[in-house]
Order: sequence, then C-alpha cells, then structure tokens
Amino acid sequence: MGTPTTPPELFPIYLVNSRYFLYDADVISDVRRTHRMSGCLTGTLPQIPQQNIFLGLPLELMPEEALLLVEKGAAYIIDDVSAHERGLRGMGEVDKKEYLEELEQDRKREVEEYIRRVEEKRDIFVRRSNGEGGEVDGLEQTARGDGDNEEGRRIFENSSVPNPIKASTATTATNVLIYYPTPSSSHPIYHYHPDPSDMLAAGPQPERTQGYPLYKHLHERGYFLSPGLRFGCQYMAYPGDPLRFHSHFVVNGLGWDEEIEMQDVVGGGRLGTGVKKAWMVGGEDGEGQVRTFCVEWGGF
Amino acid sequence: MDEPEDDNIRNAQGNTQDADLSDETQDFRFLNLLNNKTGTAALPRRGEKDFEPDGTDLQDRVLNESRQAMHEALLGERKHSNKQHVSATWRPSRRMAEVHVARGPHFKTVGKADRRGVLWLLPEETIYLVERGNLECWWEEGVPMSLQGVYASALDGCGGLERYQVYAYLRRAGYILARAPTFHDDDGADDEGVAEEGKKEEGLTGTIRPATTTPPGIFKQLFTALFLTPPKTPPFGPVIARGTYRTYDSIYSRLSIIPSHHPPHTPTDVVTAASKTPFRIAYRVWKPQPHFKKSDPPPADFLVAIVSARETSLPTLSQLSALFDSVPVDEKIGGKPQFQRLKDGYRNVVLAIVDSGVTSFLKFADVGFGDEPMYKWKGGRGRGGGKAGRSGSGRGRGRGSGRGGRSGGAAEVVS
Repeated sequence: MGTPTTPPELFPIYLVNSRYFLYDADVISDVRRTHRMSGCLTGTLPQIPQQNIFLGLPLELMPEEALLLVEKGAAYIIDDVSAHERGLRGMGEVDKKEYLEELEQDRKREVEEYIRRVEEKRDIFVRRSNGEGGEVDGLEQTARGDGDNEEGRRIFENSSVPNPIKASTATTATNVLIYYPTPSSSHPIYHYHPDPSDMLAAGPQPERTQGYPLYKHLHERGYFLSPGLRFGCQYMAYPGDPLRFHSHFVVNGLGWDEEIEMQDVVGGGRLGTGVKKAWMVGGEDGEGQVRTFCVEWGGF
Repeated sequence: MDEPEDDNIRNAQGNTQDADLSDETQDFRFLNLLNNKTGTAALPRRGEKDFEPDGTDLQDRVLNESRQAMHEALLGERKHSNKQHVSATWRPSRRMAEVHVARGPHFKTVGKADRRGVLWLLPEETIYLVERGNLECWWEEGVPMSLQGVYASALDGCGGLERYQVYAYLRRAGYILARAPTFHDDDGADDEGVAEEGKKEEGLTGTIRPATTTPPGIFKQLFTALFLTPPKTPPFGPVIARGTYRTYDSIYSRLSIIPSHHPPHTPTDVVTAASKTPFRIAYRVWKPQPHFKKSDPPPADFLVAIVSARETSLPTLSQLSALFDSVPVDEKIGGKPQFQRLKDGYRNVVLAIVDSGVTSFLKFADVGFGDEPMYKWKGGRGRGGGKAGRSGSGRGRGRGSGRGGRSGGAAEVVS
C-alpha cells in the first residue's frame, strides 16, 4: 500500500449502552488500514446532514470487531459513561477556566482570520473598482460560498465611496461570523482516561458471540466483514476494503452440532447465487478448528 | 480511471427510486458530488467496485484515494455560526437538554416547552442536533460537550442505540418523528393496565388469534349474512347440496369452510398494555409536510417499532397481536384498491431491525385475505397498486435473527 501506516498504538474503544464506539477519525482510518475492520459509520455527516448515503462519526463496531481488537492487544474498552462522570467530578476550577479561555482564544483567532480574509477580498475589489479590470481570477479564488460573496459585494459598494476603509472595517467586525464548533472526541479535562495498560488487563471484555470463531477465521484470511442482516445473513465477507470491493460471501456462523434445515440450505444457496455470491456456513469444531462450507445453486 | 467514472455518473434523483445506495459502503470520493451547490447532486451508479484485489498499483491508488476522502469527510467540522447559534444545557436529572434560546427551523419539529416556558429537548433530539452541528450543548459543570460526551450522556435516555439510529436515519431522510405514547414500557398507564388485564382474562388475548371466525364491526352482519352463516350444511353429504344455484358466489361461499382471520374493520379500542418492548411502537412518523404543528400533529403516516437484530427474533403471534392492538385501524382503507388493501392491511406497523448500525425496515400488516374473496373480484380496478410493489419498506426480507433461527420471515400476517 502506498501510504505509510502508523505503528499500531493502543487505543480506546468506548462502551455506551453495550455498544462499541470510535470517535477519532485517525483511529478509524488506522483500524481500517492496519486491522482490516470497517465498522459502521452511524452518525450524521455535518457537511451534508440530510442524506443517509454517506454517514459520519461515531463509528459503531460490531461486538466481534471489538473483541478481536481487544484480544489482539490493539485496543481496550472504556465504559464511557463513567469515564465522563469521573472526569467531570475531577474537573478543577482552574483547569476549567483555562479550558474555556482556550476556547475563547480559538474563537478570537478565527474572528481575526475572518476579518483578515474579508479585508483581503476588499482590497481586490478596491483595486478592481479603480479600473484594473483583469482580476477575475483573484475574485473567483477569494469569493467562496454565498455568504462571503454577499459580504464582498457590500464592501465593494462601500469602498467605491472615497476613503471608507475605517468605517467598513468596523461594520465587518460586528457582522463577523463566529462559529460554534463541537469536537468529536472528549477533552481530557472532563473525560477521565485510565492508563491503557491497566485497562487491557482489567477492562471490560466484549461478549463472545456464536459467530465469533467464524468471524475471526475469515478476518485472519484477509476478509473484511460487515453486518449482514440486510442481505439475509450474519456477516458479509469482502475480499478487501468494502470501499473498493464487492463482497464474495454471505456468511452465517453456526454451532458445530447445530442442525440446519434443508429449507435453509436451499434458501441460502438461492440467495447467495441470486446476488452472485456464495452462501457460507461455518463454525468451530470441538478442537477449536474452524471449518467453512459454501453452498451454491448448481445450474444443471 | 477518471473517464469511465464520469460516464457512470448519473443523477441522484434517479437513484432514489431504487434507494439501494445506502445498502453498500459508498465511495467517499463521490461525497463532493453530492455536496455541490448546484442542486443536481450526482452519484455514481452501483457496480463501480472491483471484484477482488488484483495487486495493481492502480487499484491501491484508487483505494487510498477513497480512504483519504473518507478520512477528510470524517474530519469535517460540526459547527454553526452565531446567526444560528443555539445552546442548551444537558440536565442529567431529567435526562433532557434545556434550551437557552430556541432558534431556527428545527424547532418546528423538536423540543417541548414546559409550563414555565422552558424548552426541553429529548435525548435523541439533543444528539441529533449536536451531531448535525446545529446545537452547542453544555455540561451542567459549565463546559461545552463533545459529540462523544453527548452520546455517553444521552444515549441511555433514548432507549438504546438502535432507537436513536432509527430516529436519526428517518430524520436525515426528511421524516418528522415524535415519540409514541408507548415509547416506554410503563407509559404511565399502570392503573389502566390492571383493568385491562382483567378484561383480557375473560376475552382472549388480543384480536389476532390463530383463526378469528367472526369479522367484528359493521361489516359483521353483512358478512355473516352473506358468507359466514354456515349455510345449514347437512351433517353428511356434499358441501354443495343439491339445489338451484343462480350465482357462482353462492357456490363459492359454501366452499369456504375453513375459518379465516378477519382483522377489525372499524376503529377499535387501542390497547397498549399488552405490547412489550421491543415489539412496541416507539415512534410516530410523518412524511415531510410544510405546516406541521408539533403541538397538534395529524394522524401519523407510519408507526415504527424498533428491534435489535442481535437480541431479538421474529415476533410471535401473541407479540404481533399485542403490537397490532396498540395501533389504530386505518380508516382510509375502504378507499384503497384491493391490491393496496392486501398490502397495507387494516392495521400495519413498520418494524425497523438494526444490525450493528445497519437498519432494515419491514412492514407487518394485519391483512384480511378472508375479507377479499377473489370470486367477488371483478378485475381491473384492483390492480392499481401494482406500481407500489417495491415501496420502501418492502425491502429486506431477511430472516428474523440471522442466527439460524427458524425461517419464515413473511412480511405480512395472513393466518
């Protein structure tokens, strides 16, 4: 792969309401790249909130994914409800003040940046109105977004009046757009973060599901697995990152001695063949060996 | 690589018909196409992906670009400007967020004011607005919350992640949602519950039984008179006794000797006590409408119950019966064509099944096949619903648990 992968560090998986979450985009990318797990983005993407095709943070991990990451020693589980409660209890007044000031500073910096951009733009308009007609490129580069454009026009009108610079700066300062961002991850000031090495040994463990042996088996062979109910199975198995590849198998993890009805075998075979995939069942025998079987609809 | 992809780009509006895009992981490189402001958002058609890794640099490069695009999308800031600024404080004791100043179009459909005029947001509304970047929520301790903090605090109050995910999914799709009175298991009707319990002892549990022989309601007499009075079948001899029959109907009706289920046709008492979470209506859902009043909403377009695929199997007959009994009878059903009547039933419930973040919607309907004798059908008129054969909820005829349980996930109760 072209990009260098960051060395795997121990990262936390946050447990809320018996579900497993990741909030950090870097961790999510790293899990995808180095641990071959895609999880499921379930949050609203703030850039385009009114659709369900591209979703955003948080990322939900299947219990199988969480368990495997813990077993590999790559991650540990934090009970996020108590982590916040404990963090908030321990938050000192001084720290809090510092943190709020820091936020205020960020905001101020952004305001200054905004004013600087507006002024830059105005300069261009001033130059244009002074008769240098050819600066179309510069105009297009700076006038990004509708709001900015409007601002630009207003200033443009103002600046055609002789010596308006002081007055228009004052108006932009009051009209300035202040943004209120919400970070994805919690700040350590109100979020208690235990020592990772302690948590690895003593932290909560995700439950071991019936499908887990088969999940692990396929994962170790390079498959990406994702929840499969929508396709009528337990997992979908992709030969690589689902961003790029179609899935090959419709997978069901079973108990070794579990009885399967003939109807399910036929139905599964038809289902898999109908979507150009193979229907797979598999499970762990008594000795911890996983065996898999595929059913396809024979076309005679 | 760019050129063939351009060829494949088509209008997203065409895509909404097959609505399958969210089924599969989409390539985040196309996010910007959706994001452009011209209003003609375009998305790539399905089938862009490769069959398997072939080890070429080209494939690696494309995959890396997709991952990079995804990464950048995830870094996108969640924010709003001072012109739309809304802030709230999360009150753990009430498990709701107290809004300081309400502003913006969202408050047409979310929030509820108490007697003192303070506007409160439910936990799911709080998470949703924060997640979109429309709300700045604060801890009581006086610092702003992160998204992570909002999830940790509010998710429990939503009744679990699955309920929140379905809420957010439908909100993103443009629907208006409100908690159903049956959102909680106890719905404050404990006293009534006892009374209802007593009633049930006498009667049977629920209106759906393996075979209801008598159709209730105003059609009752009509139906009974026409078909269901056993036409004095002699204890022996042929079902169609010797005699004069002037219509086929009179013969066919005598042939229908197997008792069948008849859903209630007229408004019946809505009984909620028997339905238990998760097979209990969580949300009332409306299609987007411009003049929605949250204080006085019209009858809901859909009623949604939400289950987790990993913890629940298909509902049993008594669970379904209790669920249907908590839902009003569709009063408009008489005006629908026959095919649509058989699809929608007299009462129906949308069941959202969430499997680790992936949601499938199924519709369960209380259908009166016994009330629609085909020999009465004159053809033509009834086929009107043919086009709706793949309406949104019909998708995903998955098995209940996907865990090797019994199969038989028919989406409609026919009995």
